[in-house]
Amino acid sequence: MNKFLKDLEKELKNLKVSEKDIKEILDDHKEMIEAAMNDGLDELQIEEKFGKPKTLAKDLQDDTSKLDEKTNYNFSDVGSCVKVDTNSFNLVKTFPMISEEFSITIGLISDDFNLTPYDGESIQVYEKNVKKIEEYTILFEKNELLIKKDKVKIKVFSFSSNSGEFLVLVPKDIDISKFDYKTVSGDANVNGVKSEDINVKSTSGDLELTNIDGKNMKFTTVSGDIEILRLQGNQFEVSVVSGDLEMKHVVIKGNMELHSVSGDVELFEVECEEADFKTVSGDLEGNEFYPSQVSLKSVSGDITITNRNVLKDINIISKKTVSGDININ
Amino acid sequence: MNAQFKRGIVELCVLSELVMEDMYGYRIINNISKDIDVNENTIYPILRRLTKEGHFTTYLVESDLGAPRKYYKVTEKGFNYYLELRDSWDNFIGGVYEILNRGGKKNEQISERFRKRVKKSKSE
Repeated sequence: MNKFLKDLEKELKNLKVSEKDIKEILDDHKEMIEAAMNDGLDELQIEEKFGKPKTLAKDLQDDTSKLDEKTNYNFSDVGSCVKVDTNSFNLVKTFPMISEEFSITIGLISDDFNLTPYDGESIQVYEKNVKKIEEYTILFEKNELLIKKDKVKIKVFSFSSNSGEFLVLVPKDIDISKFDYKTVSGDANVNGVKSEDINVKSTSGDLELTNIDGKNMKFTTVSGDIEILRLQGNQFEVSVVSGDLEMKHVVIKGNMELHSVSGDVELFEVECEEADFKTVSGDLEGNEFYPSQVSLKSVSGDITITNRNVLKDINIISKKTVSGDININ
Repeated sequence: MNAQFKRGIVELCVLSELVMEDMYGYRIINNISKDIDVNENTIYPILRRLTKEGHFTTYLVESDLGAPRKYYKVTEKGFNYYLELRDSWDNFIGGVYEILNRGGKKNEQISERFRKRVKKSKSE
């Protein structure tokens, strides 16, 4: 059975599992194989029972890497770094970080935008497939990082929808005084922003926001979807017209306003003081949604809130609906 | 069977075993593989992941037959998770049987119905 352990060790090393994890896994297997032998199983039976080291190693690696993504983060450490692959991007500009604080203003049309903290000391701006980089303003002035698509005359017959992508890396653990993002159709993926004011506005671009810590936050889209994972702050306002909104692991110390016309809203593990939800035909589905007070208003959308913790009381200030159902379990 | 699907079911089984009593790894594997066709390489990663996620804790117990054994114990969080999973499983499997039973409960009944139907469509 030593062969099984040796093979397993080799496979785990190949998959770059950490030394500590490998040791633990091997110790567990030594113990389990010993128990199997004490049970009277022979080599062949054990082989059958334990399966192939290669598949086992793969399964273990899958699970470990997924876990690391999940557990590496906590709210006191918003700047948790994601390994960023900049290989497919071209470096456009680098700005040294001299001050403790700065603001970010982004104004794009159709280009996608990514922002994430990293282990470096300067602000780095990258691009991929951006045509005519000369038509953009990219500068750092008066403690403000500005990336903007300049207004150009739109040729009537050009359907040039050649949109590219920007990637901005900011030093981790740095406070951003203001984060202002506007786009028309570009998608945004923003990770790890800690900022007083966060304003995000998109027409049809989708927004993906992860690890966000802000005092006052306002997110608006028309048809773009919003996906939020891990967010905390004092005041939070989200408004969508037809885009869907999904929020997971959100803690708001103050009030939260959610407005939707026809977009569906899905909440999971969301806490706040006073919650105000308004919709016309969108549904609201809240699981583990704990506002201390809540106002619900819907025309035809259904509202369902399901909570497991029955000890936490939710005070319902008002609920109004025309043809939708409101269920609070 | 689809690997992802199987993993979910095995996860439920592992939880169920440990909700009954604390056990060491091999015992869990043995208990489960008695009834369903799985081997260690499905169960161990689940044990490890659920432990990391705080659904289980572990402790060592000396053994007469060699090295001490690692016992797995369900935490409060793990127990709640089990209830949740169990609920969705019951709902799901209940729904599946609703659908299957519409076509008959026993194989003979199902075959009979099916043959009749085939015959009928042939004669038409």
